[in-house]
Amino acid sequence: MIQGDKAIEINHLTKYFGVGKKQVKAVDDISFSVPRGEIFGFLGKNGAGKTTTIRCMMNFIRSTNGGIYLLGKDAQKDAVDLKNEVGYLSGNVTLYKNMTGYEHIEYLSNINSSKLIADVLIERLDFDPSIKAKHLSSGNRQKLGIVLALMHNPHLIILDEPTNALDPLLQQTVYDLLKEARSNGATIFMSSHNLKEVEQICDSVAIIKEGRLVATESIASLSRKHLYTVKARFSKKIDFAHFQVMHATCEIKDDTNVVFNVKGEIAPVLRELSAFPLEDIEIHHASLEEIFMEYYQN
Amino acid sequence: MHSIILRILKDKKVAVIAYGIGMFLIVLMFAGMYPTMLENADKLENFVDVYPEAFMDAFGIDDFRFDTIEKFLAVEYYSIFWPIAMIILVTGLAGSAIAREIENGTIEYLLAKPIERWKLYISKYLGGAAVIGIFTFVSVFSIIPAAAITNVDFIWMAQIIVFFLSMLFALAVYSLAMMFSAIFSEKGKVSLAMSVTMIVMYVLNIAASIVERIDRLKYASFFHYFDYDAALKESAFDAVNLFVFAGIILVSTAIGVFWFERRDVTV
Repeated sequence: MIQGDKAIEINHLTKYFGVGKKQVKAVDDISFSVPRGEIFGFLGKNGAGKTTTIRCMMNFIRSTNGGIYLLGKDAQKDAVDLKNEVGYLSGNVTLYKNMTGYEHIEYLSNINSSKLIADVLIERLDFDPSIKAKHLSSGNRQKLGIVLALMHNPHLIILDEPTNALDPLLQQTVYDLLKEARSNGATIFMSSHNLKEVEQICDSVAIIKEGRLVATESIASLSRKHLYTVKARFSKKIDFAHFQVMHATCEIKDDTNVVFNVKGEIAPVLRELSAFPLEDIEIHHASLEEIFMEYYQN
Repeated sequence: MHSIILRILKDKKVAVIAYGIGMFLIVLMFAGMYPTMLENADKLENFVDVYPEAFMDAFGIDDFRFDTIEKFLAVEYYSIFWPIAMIILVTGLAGSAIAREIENGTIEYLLAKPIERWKLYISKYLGGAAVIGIFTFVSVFSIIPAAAITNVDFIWMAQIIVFFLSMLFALAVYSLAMMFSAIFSEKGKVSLAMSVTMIVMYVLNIAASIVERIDRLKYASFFHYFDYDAALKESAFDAVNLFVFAGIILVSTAIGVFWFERRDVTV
């Protein structure tokens, strides 16, 4: 059953490509949901199944098994109705090369859609829509892709690598636009390789690996994971054999400097370290990137 | 739907104008040549007498007297020139409609819009059909200004019948090409499939007219039903040909829509 407060509900989604012995499992029995009004990050390496999942959500490709519900509607059966409320940005923005930005906006908004906030987006992204697509830089193509995805003020925004090819200033503008859309009630689902941006703007993330979901958690709960990096500097040379028994992997920098990657409680490690002549110690929580790598290494 | 149809017309504007001018010049050239051919009809008849009968049958040439421009156009224009120009145009149009959009990735914009896939297919189909209509109209009725310039008489009814027959033939080829465009994800594959299909059909039609044993194979060729000879020489048409073309259009379009509705679109 679909909960009214869920913008996205994916149940046991499976997608195979090909037939017989050549069959490739792209997505394998993944399930997760996204509450309305959230920015949700979808992480994974190239070929992990992110784009396949997004294409199933957009009904470009049909799932082998499982169901997808967006805004309470079946993504396949109610696809046409649903697309009035969905904005989509492809991971690889390709345009009609002989059409200008304006012509793209006119053409696509005339197909049962609208361009409600196109002018606002053009201004915010500092985009010149009078230039033919074939003369646009990759950054400007991305801007136009974002305008086309958001111009009808959708309730659900599905973005595949939204800040590809954008400079840091424009990335920030896009983050602001997405945050504003969220505050207006929209739900944003975005895949990304940029873990810093996910950490910065997403409320929750899912991590997909080889077609299977390995984690779905809020950013806050990921941050609470007991993963730490401890940098210790000692006042004299240490016999590093002592550290082998610690509940941490250690990376020896030189005679007096060691970096510990701690998985689990940090207190025992600190207790053990206090027995040595510590000169300085620096502790920080693992970044999303380190957590992501941890999931991938496991 | 109208937005997609208008977009296709706008995109193909230059191609339509170029084809239109090209076809008019070709017709003008044939109309200009016609009085000379008429004057030398006897010599020409003696010349073609040495050709093998099978060769004449194969290319549907049974009369070199050319007492009307329609007979001359039947041999010189509609036997091979017009079908080749039409097939090139039509294959390009159909390949661009869906397969190239998939190849380029732009199909995702259309699929992300609230429009059923069958409507998308039909809109693309109608846009291309409009271009084919303009091409056929210009390529057939160029005879009107060309005849006026060269002071040649033509038969209105024959031209009108050949226009409708040509239009149906072109739409049948287009429907088949659109079906391939819905099946394949690359324009090149559509062109390849169409080239092979059309060459096989052409060869079948010729072979069937030469070798009696395989006479029935002619029914598998679109070219058999494109009876421009009867249209131009007798201002007549066989209703069966029209029904066959109509059937091909309906069946190919139905298969194309069915396939496009169900296929995965991965760009």
